[in-house]
Amino acid sequence: MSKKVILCVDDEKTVLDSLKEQLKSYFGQKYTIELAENAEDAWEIIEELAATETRILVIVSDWLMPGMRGDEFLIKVYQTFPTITTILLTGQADTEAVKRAKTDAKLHRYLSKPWRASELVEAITSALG
Amino acid sequence: MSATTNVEVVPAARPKASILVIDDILADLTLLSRILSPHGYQVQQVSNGAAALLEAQTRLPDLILLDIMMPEMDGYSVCQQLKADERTGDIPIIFISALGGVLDKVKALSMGGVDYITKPFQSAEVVARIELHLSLRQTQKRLQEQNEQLRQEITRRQAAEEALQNANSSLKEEIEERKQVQADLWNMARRFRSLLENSSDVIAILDEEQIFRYVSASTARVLGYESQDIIGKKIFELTHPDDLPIVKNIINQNLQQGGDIPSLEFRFQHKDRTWRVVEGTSKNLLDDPVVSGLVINVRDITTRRQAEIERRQYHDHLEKVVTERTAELARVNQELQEDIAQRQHTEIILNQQTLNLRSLVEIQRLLLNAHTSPPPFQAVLKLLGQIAQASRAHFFENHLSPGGQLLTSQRAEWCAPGISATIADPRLQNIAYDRLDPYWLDTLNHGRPLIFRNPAIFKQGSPIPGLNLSCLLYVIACAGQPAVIWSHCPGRLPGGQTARGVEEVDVMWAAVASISLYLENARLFQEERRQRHMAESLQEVATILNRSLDLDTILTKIMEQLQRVIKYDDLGVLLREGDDLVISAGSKSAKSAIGFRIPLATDDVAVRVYKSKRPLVIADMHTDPLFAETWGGNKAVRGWMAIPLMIGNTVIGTLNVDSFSVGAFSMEDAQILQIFANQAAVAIQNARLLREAQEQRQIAESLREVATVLTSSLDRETVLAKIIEQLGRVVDYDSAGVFLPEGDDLVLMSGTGFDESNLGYRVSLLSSLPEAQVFHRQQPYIIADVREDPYWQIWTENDPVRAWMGVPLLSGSQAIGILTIDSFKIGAYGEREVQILQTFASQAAVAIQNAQLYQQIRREKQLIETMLASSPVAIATLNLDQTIASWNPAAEELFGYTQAEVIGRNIDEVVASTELRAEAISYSEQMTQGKQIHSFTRRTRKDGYPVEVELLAVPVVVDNEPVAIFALYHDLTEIKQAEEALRQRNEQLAQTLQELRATQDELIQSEKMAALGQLVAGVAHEINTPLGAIRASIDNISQALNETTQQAPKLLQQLSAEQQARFFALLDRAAKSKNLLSSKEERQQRRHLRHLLEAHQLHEVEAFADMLVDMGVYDDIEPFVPLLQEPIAPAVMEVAYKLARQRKNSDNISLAVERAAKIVFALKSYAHHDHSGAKVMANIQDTLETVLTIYHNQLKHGVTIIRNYTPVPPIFCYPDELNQVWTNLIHNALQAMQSKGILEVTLKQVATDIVVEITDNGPGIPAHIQERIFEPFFTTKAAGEGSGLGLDIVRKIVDKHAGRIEVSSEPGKTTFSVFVPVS
Repeated sequence: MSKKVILCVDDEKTVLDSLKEQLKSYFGQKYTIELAENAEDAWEIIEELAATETRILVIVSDWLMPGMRGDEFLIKVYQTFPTITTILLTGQADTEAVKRAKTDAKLHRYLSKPWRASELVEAITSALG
Repeated sequence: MSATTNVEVVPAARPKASILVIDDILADLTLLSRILSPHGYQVQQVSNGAAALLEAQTRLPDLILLDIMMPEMDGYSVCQQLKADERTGDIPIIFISALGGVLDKVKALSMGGVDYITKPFQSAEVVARIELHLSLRQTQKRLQEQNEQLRQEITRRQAAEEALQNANSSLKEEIEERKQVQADLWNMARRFRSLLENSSDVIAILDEEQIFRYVSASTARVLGYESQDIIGKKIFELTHPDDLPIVKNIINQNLQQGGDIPSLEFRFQHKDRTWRVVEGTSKNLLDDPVVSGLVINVRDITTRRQAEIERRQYHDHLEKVVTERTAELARVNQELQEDIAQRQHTEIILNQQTLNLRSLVEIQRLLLNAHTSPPPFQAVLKLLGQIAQASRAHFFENHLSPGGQLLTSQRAEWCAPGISATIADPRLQNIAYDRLDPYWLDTLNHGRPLIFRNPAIFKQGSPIPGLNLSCLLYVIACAGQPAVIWSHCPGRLPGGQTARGVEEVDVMWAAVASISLYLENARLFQEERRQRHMAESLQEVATILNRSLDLDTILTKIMEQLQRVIKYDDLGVLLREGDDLVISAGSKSAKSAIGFRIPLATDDVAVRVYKSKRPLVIADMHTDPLFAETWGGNKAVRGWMAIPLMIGNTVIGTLNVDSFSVGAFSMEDAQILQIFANQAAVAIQNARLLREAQEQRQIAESLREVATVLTSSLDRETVLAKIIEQLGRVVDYDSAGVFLPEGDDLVLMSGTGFDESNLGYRVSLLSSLPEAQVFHRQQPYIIADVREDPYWQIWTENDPVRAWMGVPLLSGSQAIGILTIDSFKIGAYGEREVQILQTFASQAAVAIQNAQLYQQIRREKQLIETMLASSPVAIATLNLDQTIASWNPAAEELFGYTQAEVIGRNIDEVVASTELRAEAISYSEQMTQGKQIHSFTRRTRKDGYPVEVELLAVPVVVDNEPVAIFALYHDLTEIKQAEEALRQRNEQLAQTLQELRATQDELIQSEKMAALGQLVAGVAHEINTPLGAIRASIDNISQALNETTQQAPKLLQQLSAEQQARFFALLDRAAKSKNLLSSKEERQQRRHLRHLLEAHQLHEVEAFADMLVDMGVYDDIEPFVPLLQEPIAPAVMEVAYKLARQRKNSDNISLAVERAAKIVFALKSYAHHDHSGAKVMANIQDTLETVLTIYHNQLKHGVTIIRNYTPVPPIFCYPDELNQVWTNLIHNALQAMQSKGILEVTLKQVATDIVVEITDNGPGIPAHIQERIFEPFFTTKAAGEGSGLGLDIVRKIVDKHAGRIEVSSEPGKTTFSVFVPVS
């Protein structure tokens, strides 16, 4: 019923805002872009969307955030919603954490900040198939 | 021919010579044998060398023919071996060989061959040569034999010669011996001759014809003849014709029978023609080859004979005289006998008349002879009784009582048989005259005899109390003589007693007179004797006075002498000693009481005499009214007398005599004794004075010697032993001891008279025992009898000790011990002993003190020596002239000289080299003046090396006079080395410190970088994040710009003016909006807007709401609703959104850049390391903010930061290091809070400090680790999370700012306060 959702999680508002605008220009017609500033908020949105049977297709998450880190968050997401494509978009990430995310959260892409729009779009597009 | 020749040369008796032929060729052998045999040679043949050698050695041929050329052993070899053999070496060898060369011959001859015959040989030649050589051989042999014989001969002769020489020498010895024997014989002969010549006898030898053959020279003397006068004469020619027959007979007999003829007297004519009687003996020595005759010995005995004749004549004369006298005596005898007869007749006549006279004479005789005592009164009384025909006879003697009263006492008694004796009757003793009958008194007073025919006339019944008189009584007295004799005869009552009675009375009177006379004589005699004895005794005493001043001797002598003067049973001399009279000498029982003291305070009888200075005589001690009861002496004593011993008016004692007889002493005795006593007193006093003087001298002498002995040793044990040893010289004791204090005790250190096990006996000084009292009071203590002393503690039950004395050993006013003596005698010690012992003790104390001082000094000396020996400092003691007196091992070590090398040498010459000499000498001069030197200088070792020393020279000053110098050399070599080492060490330390500081800096830096490293992830993130935002925003802007540039103009043309106004109003609102919402709030706004728009029945609600919120337009959207209701609304919204977004993106970029720049700045500030090390002016708040910025990412979620900043002045500090402080504190706070909670940062100024407080509301630091948190490497974090150096470094940095850090913590509030001074 509702448009499918791409969820972005980042503790930096500027990043979130610019990310949303960027993704909106590429995928705004077909998907809703939701934003969360931390894993807790994100999980809230996920549950809310799940309640309205709005599918989340992709989650783009920062790694270094206050509270739950990105890898943990994505693993948690994968454990509940294995169909959601997960992408890490971060300024810095522990390699161990990335490795963990790849195995335990079936991480789709790992993107470094500052990112290029094309690589982000490609990552999402490839996920959307 | 040759044979003949041979025969000539060789003796025919000898066998022909044997020849050994050696040839290997049988033919030659045979040939030679054939040639030689006919010449008579014994030929042996052998065909080889070996056989030849064997043959030659066994047979020893006279000659050998030897072929040279032989197999196996050639002739040369055979020859060589034969020559080498001793047995065969001489055998001539003739070589026979076919070899005819000269060389062969030479070789053969050089081998020892004698000849050489060449084969083929001529038999004649062979024979001739053989003969020649054999003959040579023979000659040779003979010569050898001859030589041998000659040699033997020579040997033999030598032996013979030797034997002869021996014989000669023994002969010479023999001759010498014989000469000696001869000489001896001559001497002997001469002696004999001399003997003969000088003999008083004539010795002659008669031959068988009785002719004199020899006469000794003594003939001339004896008989007047010269020898030649007699020799040749016959003995008979000179013999007296009367004696001729017997002489002839005897000599003939002797000639015939031999042997000896004993002495024969005969007359021999002297040359003066007188006849001399001679005594001759003869000895037949005819068989003696030397004498060969009769040896006659003749002695002149003429004189002897003459004397005998004269004696005989005198004897005859005497006999004649005796005969004549005997006749005369017989005649006289006859006359005498006649006279006696006549006298006997007269006697008989007179006998009857003189019977009484005889008795009287007898009495007188008895009395006259009665010099011995007791007088023979009883015999006299018996005679008297017989004269008076009495039954009894009594003899009374008058005498004076000591009080001068006349008394009479029965002295003797005679009783006829059957009459009982009264002699023992005490009533007949000491009868006072006033108790006598007047008649009796009258008799006595007139000295005439009385005859009482009737005793009844006695008024009192009996003149003698208790004696019953019932018959004739004769009372006879001699006037003036205190003698009374009375007699009574019961059978002769009045009447008939006439002349006879008178006659008897006369006789009795005479007898009594004799008795009186006797008694008077006896008394006089006694008196005389007594006087004499007295004189003698006094003289003796005087002599003793001159001769002896020994009290004991004098006392003994006095007693001895007294015995001669007075009869007594016992005698004692009592002398005053102190407050007592002391029995000082005595005989018998008094002797055993010597030493007994009678106090002068008592009422003793002797004391009375002593005090009254008068003699006292007591007749009977048993009855004396004054003293009978108080008498404490011998109970047997009856008579007693005491004389004061006086010198001038001074009494020194008493002389007491006593007797077992009542009234033994009279005043007269006392007077005599007084004279004696006066002499004795002087003697005694002198003796006492002398003894005292001697004793004092002796004691003084002893004490002097003791002092010498005691101080002769400095060994304490020896001194103690000597004290005891010497003590006996000055005072008598049974045991003695020296006690010295030890702790709270007196300890017996030395002594004598007790078992050695008692040494070490302790007396507590806290006790009140006599020893302790002596020590404490420093006063002597005398105990007369220990059994009476309350303080005495008995050692053993049967301790014989009675008297005791202790004196303190005083050194100055201090007691150093006590000296004790004791005695088994009660009261042995008095004032005298105290004085002596005190004097002695003072010497002993000095000696002990000296010994102790010496011991102490020796210990101190040893201590000093040990100190010197063990001192690490070189020490030399110097005499004042700078010569070395001692040199300790350290000095030996330091200077390399042994003590022996330097003693006596000048110190400066020893240890100061030439260039140091001047300085050293100047020091020495100062030292000599008593100045102390302390200097750092240099001295020289024996090996020439210099040593750095610290010299300390200290003068040793005794009584303000320097006596020696202590020179101490402290070797500074090691100290200098040590100083150098220390300096190097310090340098090293400084360097190490430098390094450490560098390390510390590095450590701080690395800690900082480590902390930074932890932040790197975040930092990268922090930078990359804005970069990402920037890039995305730029992309968005660029895209939006492209799109809006195309779309916006077109859109604006399509819009009405109103719509345009609304459009720009929207843009304006968006531009003015502040993006203050979080994503979550935006979602809420979006949802709210959606509902709002839905309420306006708008389409595209979702998209519009989204865009509006993103544009920042969510309040009061009513003005824009009409626009949104337009059909063109989506396009309008898109353009508006994009335009608005461009601004938003620009703002985003601006924000991101700002953020990135801030982070980079913080990083730069943080990582800054000021290598200059100098403080810079900085604002503390900035440093706090830098750190908070770095931690921004970690702080922005979950941590609330409260900044309590008060403005503070900038200060000089190390800002980068302070950053590190804040970083650490904030980091710790975050970790403690697990990144959730309140972080309070306070900055303020308190007084002169700027204070930064970092407070978190975490669980707090447990109290038990608060103390440790600043320790390096202390951490509560898991391994790898923290270095543990954080707070340590924090504190170091704060210290570096001269500040301090404090922590207070409780759950929910932990505050770290950093104080940094402003200046």
